[in-house]
Amino acid sequence: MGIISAIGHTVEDHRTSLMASKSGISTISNFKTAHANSIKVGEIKKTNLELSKALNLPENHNYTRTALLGCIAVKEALAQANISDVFNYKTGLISATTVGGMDKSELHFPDFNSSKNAEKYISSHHAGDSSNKIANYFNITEFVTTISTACSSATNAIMLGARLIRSGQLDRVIVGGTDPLCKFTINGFKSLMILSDEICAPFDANRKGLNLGEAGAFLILESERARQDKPVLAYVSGYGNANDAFHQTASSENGDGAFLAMQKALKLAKLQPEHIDYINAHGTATVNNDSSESAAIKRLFTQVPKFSSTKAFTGHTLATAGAVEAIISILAIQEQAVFPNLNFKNPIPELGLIPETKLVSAKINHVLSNSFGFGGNCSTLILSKA
Amino acid sequence: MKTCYINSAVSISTQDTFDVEKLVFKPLDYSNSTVKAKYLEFKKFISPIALRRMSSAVKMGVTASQLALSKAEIEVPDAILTGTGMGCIDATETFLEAIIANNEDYLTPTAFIQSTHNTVGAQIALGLKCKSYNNTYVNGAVSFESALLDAKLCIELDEDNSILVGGIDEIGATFSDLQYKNELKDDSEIRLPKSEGAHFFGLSNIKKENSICLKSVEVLHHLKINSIETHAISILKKCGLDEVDAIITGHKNDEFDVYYESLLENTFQNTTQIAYKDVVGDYFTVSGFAVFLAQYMLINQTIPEGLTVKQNKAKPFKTILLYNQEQGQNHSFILISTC
Repeated sequence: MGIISAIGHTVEDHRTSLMASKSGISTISNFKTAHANSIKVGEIKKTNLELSKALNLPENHNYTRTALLGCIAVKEALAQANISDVFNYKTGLISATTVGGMDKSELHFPDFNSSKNAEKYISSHHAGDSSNKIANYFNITEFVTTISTACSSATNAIMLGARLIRSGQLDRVIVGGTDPLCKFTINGFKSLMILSDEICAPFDANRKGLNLGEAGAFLILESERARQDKPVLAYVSGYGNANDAFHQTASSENGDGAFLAMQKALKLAKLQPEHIDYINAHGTATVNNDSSESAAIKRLFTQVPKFSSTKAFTGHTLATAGAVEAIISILAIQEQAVFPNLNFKNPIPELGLIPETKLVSAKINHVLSNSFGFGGNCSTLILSKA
Repeated sequence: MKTCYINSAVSISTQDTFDVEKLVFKPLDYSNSTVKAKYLEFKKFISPIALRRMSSAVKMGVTASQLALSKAEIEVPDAILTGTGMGCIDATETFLEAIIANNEDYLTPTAFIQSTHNTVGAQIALGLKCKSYNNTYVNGAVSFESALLDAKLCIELDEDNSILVGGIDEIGATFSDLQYKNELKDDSEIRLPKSEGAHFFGLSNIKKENSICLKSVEVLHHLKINSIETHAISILKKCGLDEVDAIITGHKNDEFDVYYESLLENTFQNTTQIAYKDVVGDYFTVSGFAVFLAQYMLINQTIPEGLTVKQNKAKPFKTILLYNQEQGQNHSFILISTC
C-alpha cells in the first residue's frame, strides 16, 4: 500500500494519525481561491515542486499534481510490496481520477494558445494522462487504464483489478486513484452548496456538508503465484457495484444503489451481514449522503455493526476516496481497532445510527467499505483479514 | 467459460452510419480543425424536456444506446460500461470559463453536474431505471477498449448475461481545437481533423441470428515497434488461428503510422488492410467505429465504399483483427469473428 493525503505522506503516517484521532483538515494554502476563508479542506502541505523533487523529475516536466500524487503513492506501494522488478510478473495499473489534469488546465485555460509554458499542459488535460505518466515512471507496459465514476472511482479500480487477477489476465495489478484539490471541484461543490466551513461531522444530525480533500492512494493486488512467500496484508473478498438510477447527483431516500452494492459484495464474498465487523462508511457529511447511506445500512443489517466515516481525517478525496478508505480499512484490520468518526454529537433523529466516536479495539475479520458518487454510482468493497 | 457475442452495433459518426442498411463513405472535410458528428433527429429518441438539458455527448450516447439495446433484444442490461477519452468536455469548458469569468462567484451547478465523466453512463442508467453494474473508463485511446474488455470478462466469468458497451466523445468549444494545433508540427501540415461520435454494442452470452464473436481484447500500455507483429500473431495463436481475413488499423497519416506499417509489412502483407480514421476523423474513442465496421463487414461480407483499402482479396470475411495505438502508447488489439 502507498498513500499520501492530508493526514500523512506514508502509510505509517496514516496509522499514527488515525490511532491518535488527529484530523488533517485545515485552511487551503497551496493555491489561491476566492473561497479560502469560507471552506476547510484536507490539503497535502507539499507543493508541486517538493513532490517533483521527491520523484527526481526533470525541471521542464508536464506532470500535473494528479500525476505527482499518484507517483508518490505508487512508489511507496511498490517498495512496501518489495517489488523491484515489474517485469517478472504481468503487472497492470488501474488508476482513478475525477479531475484529470484540471489543476493545470484551470490555471492555463486562458493562455493555452499563447504561452509556451501553458502549451505543454494541453495534452495532460485528459483523465488518462496521469495514469500514463505513472505507468511510464514505473515502466508498467501491460494493461493500463483509468476509471472515472465520480466519488466511487477507486473502488471500481480495485474491483476491476480483482476481476483481472481472477480471470488470469494479470498476475499483479496496482490499483487506486489520485485526485488533487483544484478550483474546479471546489467551485463545483460550492455551487451545489454542500461544502462545510468547519471540520465535517459525518452522520451528525447537524452536519453542514463535506470538506474536499486530496490524495494519491494505491494498493497492490497479486495472484497467489506472484505473491510467492510475501506476507498478505488483506484479501479482497468481495466487491459490488450498482446504480441508484435515481438522480444525476442526489442519492435516493432509501439508498437503493448503496443497498444493492453492499448486498452484491456480501454475496460474492459468501458472507452474511453479521460477519461484517466494521463498516468504513462513505459518510461525506452531506445531508443527502449520510441519510441515504444510513437508510441502506439499516435495511441490510438487522444489527448494525461498528461503523465510522473517516472523512473528517482526510476530507473527501473524490476519486481516490475508495482507495484511501481501503487502506484505512486494512489498517483497521492490522490494528484490530475501529477508527473514530470525529465530530459526531447527535444522531440523525429519524435514523438514529450512532457511529464509533472514539478509537475502540475490536475483533475485525471483515471490513465493508462504501464509496458512492454522482451519477448514482455506488460501490462496495469487502476486505478480509489474512 | 462462456462465449461473448456482439449482438448489435450502432454508430453515430461524421458519416451516415446510424441505422443505415448500406454504408457508403464520403471524403471528410479537412479544411477545419474539427468536424461535428451528423446529428440525428434526437427528439425521435429523447423527450424534448430531457433534450434541452443534454450535452451532445449525452444525446449521442443515449440515442445510440437505445438502438443498440433494441437491436440486441435487450430490455434492461446487466451492466452499462462506457468509455470516453475527454468526457463531457463541453460542460467542463463551460464551467471552467464561468469560474474564470466570474472570479469564482455567481456559479450555478448545472455545468459542473454535467461535466463528470460518467454522465453518459449515468443518464443511460437513469433512463432505463437500470440499477445494475455501471462503470466508466477514461484512458485516452483505450477508454472504449477498457469497457469492452471488462464486458468480455464479465460475460466469460458469468458475472453478467447481457451488457451494453459504448464509447463516446464530443467536441468542445476549445480543447479539440487546442489538441489539433498541439499535434501539428508546422502550419503547412495536413492533419486529420478532430471529431466526435458514439458507438454502442449489445453484448450477451446468448447467440442470436446476427451475432458475431468477440474473441479477444488486449490492451497494452507499451509495445516495442518491432514486437507488434509477433504480439498480433500470438493473439491469433491463442484463438487457434494462423491468419485473419482482414486487418483494420487506426492510421492517422502521422509519424506514428510506423506502428501500423510494422504490423502489416511481413506476415500480413497480403491480408486485406483497411484504414478508417480518414473518413470519420480522430478522437479517443473512434476505435469504437472500427468494431462497428468489422461487425458490418462480417455480417454483410463486404467492405463499404469510400474506405482506404489495400490488398482487397476476394474471399469471405470470417475473422478480423483491429489494431490501434495512441502516439506509440495505449495499444489495443481486438479480434472478432463470425460465429
